[in-house]
Amino acid sequence: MSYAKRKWNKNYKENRNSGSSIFTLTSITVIGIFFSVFYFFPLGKLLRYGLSASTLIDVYGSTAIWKIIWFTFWQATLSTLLSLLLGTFVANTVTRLRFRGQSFLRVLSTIPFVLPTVVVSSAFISVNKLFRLDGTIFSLEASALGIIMAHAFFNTAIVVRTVGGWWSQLKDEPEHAARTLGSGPVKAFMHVTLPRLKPALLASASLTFLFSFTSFGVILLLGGLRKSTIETEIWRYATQRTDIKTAAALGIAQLVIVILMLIINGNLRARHATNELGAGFRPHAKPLNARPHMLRITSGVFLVISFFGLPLLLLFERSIKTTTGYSFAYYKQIFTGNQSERFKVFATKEAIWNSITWALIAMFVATVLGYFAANLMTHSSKRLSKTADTLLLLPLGTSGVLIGFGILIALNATPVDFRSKWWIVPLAQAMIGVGFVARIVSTAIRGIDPQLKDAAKILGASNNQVWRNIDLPIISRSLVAGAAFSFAIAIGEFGATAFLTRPQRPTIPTTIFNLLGRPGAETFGMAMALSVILAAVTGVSIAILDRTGSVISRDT
Amino acid sequence: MTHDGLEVRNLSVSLADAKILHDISFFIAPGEIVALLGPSGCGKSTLLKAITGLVSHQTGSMIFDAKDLTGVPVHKRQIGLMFQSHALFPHRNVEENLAFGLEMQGATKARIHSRIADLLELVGLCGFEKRKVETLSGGEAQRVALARSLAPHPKLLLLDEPYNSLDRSMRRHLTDEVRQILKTLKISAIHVTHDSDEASRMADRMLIMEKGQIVRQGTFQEMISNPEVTIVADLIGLETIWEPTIENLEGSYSAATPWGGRVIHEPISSTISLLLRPEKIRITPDGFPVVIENRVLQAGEWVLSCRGEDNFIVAVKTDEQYEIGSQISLMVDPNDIEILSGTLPY
Amino acid sequence: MNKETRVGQWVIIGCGVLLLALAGCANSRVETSGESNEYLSSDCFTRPELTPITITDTERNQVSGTTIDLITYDSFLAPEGAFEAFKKETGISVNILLSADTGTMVSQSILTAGDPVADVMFGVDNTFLCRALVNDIFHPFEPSTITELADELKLDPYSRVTPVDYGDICLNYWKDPNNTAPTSIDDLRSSSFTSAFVTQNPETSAPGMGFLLASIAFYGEENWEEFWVDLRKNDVVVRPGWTESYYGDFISGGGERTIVTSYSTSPVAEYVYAATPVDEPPTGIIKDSCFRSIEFAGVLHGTDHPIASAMLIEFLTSVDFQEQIPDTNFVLPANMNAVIPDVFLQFMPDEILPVTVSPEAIEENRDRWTERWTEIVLR
Repeated sequence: MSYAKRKWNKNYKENRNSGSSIFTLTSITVIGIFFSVFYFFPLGKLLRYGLSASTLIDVYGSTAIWKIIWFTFWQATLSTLLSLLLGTFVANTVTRLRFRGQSFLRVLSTIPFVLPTVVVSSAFISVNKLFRLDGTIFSLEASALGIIMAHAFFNTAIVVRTVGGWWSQLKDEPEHAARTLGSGPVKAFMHVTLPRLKPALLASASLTFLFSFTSFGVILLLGGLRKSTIETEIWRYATQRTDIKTAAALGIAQLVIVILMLIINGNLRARHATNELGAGFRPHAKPLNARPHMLRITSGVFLVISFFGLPLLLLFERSIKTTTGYSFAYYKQIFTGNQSERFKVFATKEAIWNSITWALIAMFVATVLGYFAANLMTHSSKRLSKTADTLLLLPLGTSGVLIGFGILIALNATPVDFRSKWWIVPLAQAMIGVGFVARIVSTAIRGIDPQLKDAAKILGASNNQVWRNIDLPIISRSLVAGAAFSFAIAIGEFGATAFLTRPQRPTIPTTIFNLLGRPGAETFGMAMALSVILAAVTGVSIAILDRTGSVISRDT
Repeated sequence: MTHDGLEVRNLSVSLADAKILHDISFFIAPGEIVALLGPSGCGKSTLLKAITGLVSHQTGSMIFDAKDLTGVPVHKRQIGLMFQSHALFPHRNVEENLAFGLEMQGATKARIHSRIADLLELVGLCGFEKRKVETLSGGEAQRVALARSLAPHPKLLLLDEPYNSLDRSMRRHLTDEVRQILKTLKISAIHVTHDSDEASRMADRMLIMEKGQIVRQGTFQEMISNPEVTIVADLIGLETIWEPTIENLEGSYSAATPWGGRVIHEPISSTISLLLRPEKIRITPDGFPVVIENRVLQAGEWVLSCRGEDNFIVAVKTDEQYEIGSQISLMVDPNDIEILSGTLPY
Repeated sequence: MNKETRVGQWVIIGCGVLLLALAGCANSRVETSGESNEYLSSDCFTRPELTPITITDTERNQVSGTTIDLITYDSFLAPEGAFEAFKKETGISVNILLSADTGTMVSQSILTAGDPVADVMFGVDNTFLCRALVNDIFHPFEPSTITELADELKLDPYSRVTPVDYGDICLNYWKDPNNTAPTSIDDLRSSSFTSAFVTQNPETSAPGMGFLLASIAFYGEENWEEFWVDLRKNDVVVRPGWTESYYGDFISGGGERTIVTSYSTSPVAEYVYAATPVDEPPTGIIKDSCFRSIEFAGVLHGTDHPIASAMLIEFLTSVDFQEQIPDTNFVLPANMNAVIPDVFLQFMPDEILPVTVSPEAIEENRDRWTERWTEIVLR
């Protein structure tokens, strides 16, 4: 074991990209400019407001604030743990075993990630009513439990994707060895599989934590104002009270905690790094013995269907429920809305089209930049890679309000006023996506078996050819997973974009929001139908991306 | 297909401030197959990596095909390497693995296709084109790996303990086959192994490495008859080797053995070991008494593993059958005991 | 990891943070607006230093071809073809920008005061008005339509903002022939309406804020807290936003509650957006529970296009535009000459007596009131 570990670590260093300095320099320049202009400069300018002794003393002198910080931290930690637990279990079902309908389940577990918070919380409240949980300790409303469950509902997708992608490329032999050495399936999992999954678990843990730590809608909608976090307090002070100083002071605390968490996570990941991806044989694609696997499949399918499927099913049910019974009237209304004057204003068809194109732009930018960023994160210079690793994930852990406001005060300095250009929105969405792509892809790059690259070089492949023929196919799954997430982030419009001033261009989430802002059974039904369409568009897009990933990685 | 061979001169390699290879020099003639033997961690793999260019050397030079390799990138060296763990590309099927090197050379589709067919025939895997690598057995995987490294017509093939994971008969079989193939194609090769049997079957000549240095070069025959160095004797499987107590008898040294002192005529510059070959031992009624602890039938003869006074363990060859646990006594002429320089690695 | 790299890492992070700070120092132009929360509310309606925009006829013709930005809140829907008509008439293109909600929009504009993102703001209401005015984000302008606008809506004597529309935040109830309908805000305290009422958090919702103000105006500073204590005893439910309460708890959206905080126009919307045509709305309004919310537009101080912007204000208050707002945004026109669509006249009770609270009073007491409210209702 100790020998093997040493070997891994040795290879781990060798495997880092010490590649061409021109490429590194390009990556640093591109990523540096992008993040400085759209993140560091705007945020820095805004946080300045909080940097005065009196403000800091005012804000941090109050015990209420410390209670809020503590709540923010522990709910994010528990949300992360729950997501990891569920995600690992689901990843096992949807990537380790083979059965009919598996890819459907994989997509199903990803869809919650993009649903508008308002829709999810309404689904949660329906679940709450369905099981009459209100008033019990299991109430999902105005409770920490509801917040944590909702975070797990959203973020398990991250774990499923990251851990699943990694797991599907691990050999079975060590587990088999453990079993023959006398450990049961649970022990073999705990002592052999789990340690080997650590890189992926840690990578997804950091993303999940950041999302739960800075989540906004879930806290507001399921927690009411009884439960506040740093993020909701920043929102309240900055937008409703115009108290930018307090908001900025809180933003500083948020940033400090996020940086600390990323450093701890980075160190843990460095300690548990392995590279076995693409090494040797991948697991046989057929289940070995149906009986024990049937139990795993059934329980996995049950979990996915009940946890992810139920709220979606409730949503679907509400979208087809009309006063005259079940029908697809609302869907018809969305696509033929122009016939009726009263719905013309919502421009539903245009919204669907806008959402898709807009999300594709954001996905493209995030994937290209994310790849550059991943190369910095895996650079042979530890200093560079560690810095990139921490700094590039910061936007995910920064209040959307502060980024949005920061961009407003910072990006006017040029001759052209950037602040209200249409592309600022996909760019801001891409900035969140870059961290995602980079984190997932860098994990895969670190994981590539260096012998494969050596073998390719010896067979006459230049550095470029090695990249195209070995690195790219092996990391393509991760690249595609990252792309899928950046697409999802953009189409679901998370984070900073809500707090930018942005051109009036209807998208699915904004139209859902507008429909839900009007009384009437018809508008509500259409909002529900549009949410189902959002889920469907996302599901189909992700399925297509999955397929593309399989083609690139030649794993059909 | 002819070239002027590989000449390595005074090669040194350091990795992360640790000197792995010291002053390595050797020559491989065109078409010659050389076995590289050495204990684990002696630098064999690093030497191969240095030749392929996967690690860069600090001093010395390598001339291959009348050209200096220094500064030539890995993919332009035209040197093939077969990995311990075969390193087949998991995302490509057999055919695509074989095609890789040819694609890199920019060969035409038709040419790649016919070459793959030839190679699969050569390694006895006709019809395996579309197989995914994860469905191959260990032996098949190694053959595919061999075919893959031969595909781009390397002038020199390096084999890094390629049969480690295979069973003995498969190993012998593949060794013979690969030798045949290499000899037919007149490809020079360096075959790294720690199995002397495999080395003698495969190679024309041997290089012995210890602690980053080449300690001996020559044919298998030369080394059997005169190993000179302890590590060489050990690696080629000679028995029995031990480190004796040295007595200083007024100017001349003598190594203690159960059959009296073995006078050392040569001046002692470093540590020594003694080698007592089984065929030099006679079983007589009045010799050194030992108990038979184990016996193995080797090539029609019994090899007995015996233990005597002071835990002295010795291997004896005999045609006769003795039971384990029985006592015999052994007679040796101390002058038949050979003196080797250096000590055992363990 | 060795000690050196760990130290190095901290140094780099430290430098990063320092850079952040320096970035903040780099441009001190907007620094002063950061002092925004330290103002005196009595400054609300003092005479501005800026001279009002005036438009001559030549100027009117010169601005053709310019494009101006109109910032508004997220849920505003532009009436079909309205701004195209404006362009045809004046040659000015209007580009609509959206901000999350009124509070966010006002805060953003205060942050960028003097160097605005847009040229015109539409949608600031009387609850945020004072905050916007004291921070000098508007340039005074009196449109030619001013005389047509209802006097009680013109809150700023210096015309920094012009009223565009108004709406009343009122309690809505579900009409049920089997039960007596509530007729007064005070009915909410009665045991016949236990577990009947759902409202919104004033910290996160405009109607929630409106109803809190209505209750304060109705009961007065001495008694409003008592009212909310009773509501809590009577099992009031509070949601963060209008959507969650109307569609989650109110009977119309599938819930069980029969009284909700909404708008006086909500019954009209219920009628218009009914899934199957109905003869009359299923909901009604409690007439004494209403708070009047007025939405204003103003030229943002610092605009590069003051004339075109001022012309847009005139357009927004013109009869043509005003007549289009009710159908799209369910609010009523400020211009008295605008004809209100029949459906509104038909289903909106005309005897509503909305209360108002002065913008200064709102600004001065807002934080105290919401904190007291949170204390009473949520804690």
